[in-house]
Amino acid sequence: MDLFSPDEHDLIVELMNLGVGRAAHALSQLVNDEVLLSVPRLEFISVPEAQEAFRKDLPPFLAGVLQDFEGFISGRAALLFPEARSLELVNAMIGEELSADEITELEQETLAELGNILLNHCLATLANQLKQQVKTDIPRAFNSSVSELPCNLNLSANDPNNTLVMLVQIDFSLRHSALRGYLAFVIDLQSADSFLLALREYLAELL
Amino acid sequence: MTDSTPLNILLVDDSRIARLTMKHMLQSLEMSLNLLEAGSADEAETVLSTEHADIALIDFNMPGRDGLELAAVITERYPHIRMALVTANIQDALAQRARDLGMEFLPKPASVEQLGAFIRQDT
Repeated sequence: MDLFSPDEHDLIVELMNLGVGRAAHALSQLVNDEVLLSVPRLEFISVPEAQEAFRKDLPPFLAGVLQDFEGFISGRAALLFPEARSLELVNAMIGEELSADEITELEQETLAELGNILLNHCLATLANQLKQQVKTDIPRAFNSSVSELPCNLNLSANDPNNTLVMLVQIDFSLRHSALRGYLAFVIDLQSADSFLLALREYLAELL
Repeated sequence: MTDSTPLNILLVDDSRIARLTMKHMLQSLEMSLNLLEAGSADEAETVLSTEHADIALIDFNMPGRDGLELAAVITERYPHIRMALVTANIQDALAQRARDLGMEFLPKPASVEQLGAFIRQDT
């Protein structure tokens, strides 16, 4: 999908790099460990392509957090982890003084808070850099199979031909744990117009 | 304020995990603190109607009224309470709105040092 020019695409990658970098800093404070992140891989793809990418790239069962956002860019963001590894993150965040049962009990709330922090850092950095504002909703933790993911992301409810998926994939690496995490932002084409305008205004000042 | 008088700190966040994380950090400050908790703006008002608080650490994005709406009420009714907005929403515009209300703005997760620096202004 060639909605964005090469310069605009580069700018989005740079802004997401900045946002994810800040999110990584936040995550490192939460887990008290060094967090290494790969360079984000950014793709703008259609709904069918997104469904195919999820099937191909993601593990069969996921633990994640959904957060709706609205403003110069509107849609739904998701932070996704392999379900089997999510308890490691929870354990790292809330410490070892809790029992395994307690950690399991707190998993959903912990993931929601983690998603709140990571997704907000990405979206807020994007908004700040582009001198725009975005309002984020309350995060919701969920567990699903990869086949149910499009439904969780509201993709099936939208017109597939009128929805653009901005998929950002990043790899996490902690000192004591290695797991793959994904960030996905689903935006509609109407919001992509104001996103595009903000990018062009930013570039006009820069170039 | 003397060392023997604990500071009463109200933590307002809809996330139990966020409150738990903040409590761990505050306890590591080795200060005499009495921690109060609320999971919403409404709950915070209920707590404040019966308990004295010196400081309030308030999340922004909560079900019902947000942190700034709560802060406006606290400013009016309890002007002695020092407040910080502790939020992952690090947008400049939001930080400015918080400062306009006289609040400190602490990006979430706030570090122990950041929390300590804010709280010690009152000690």
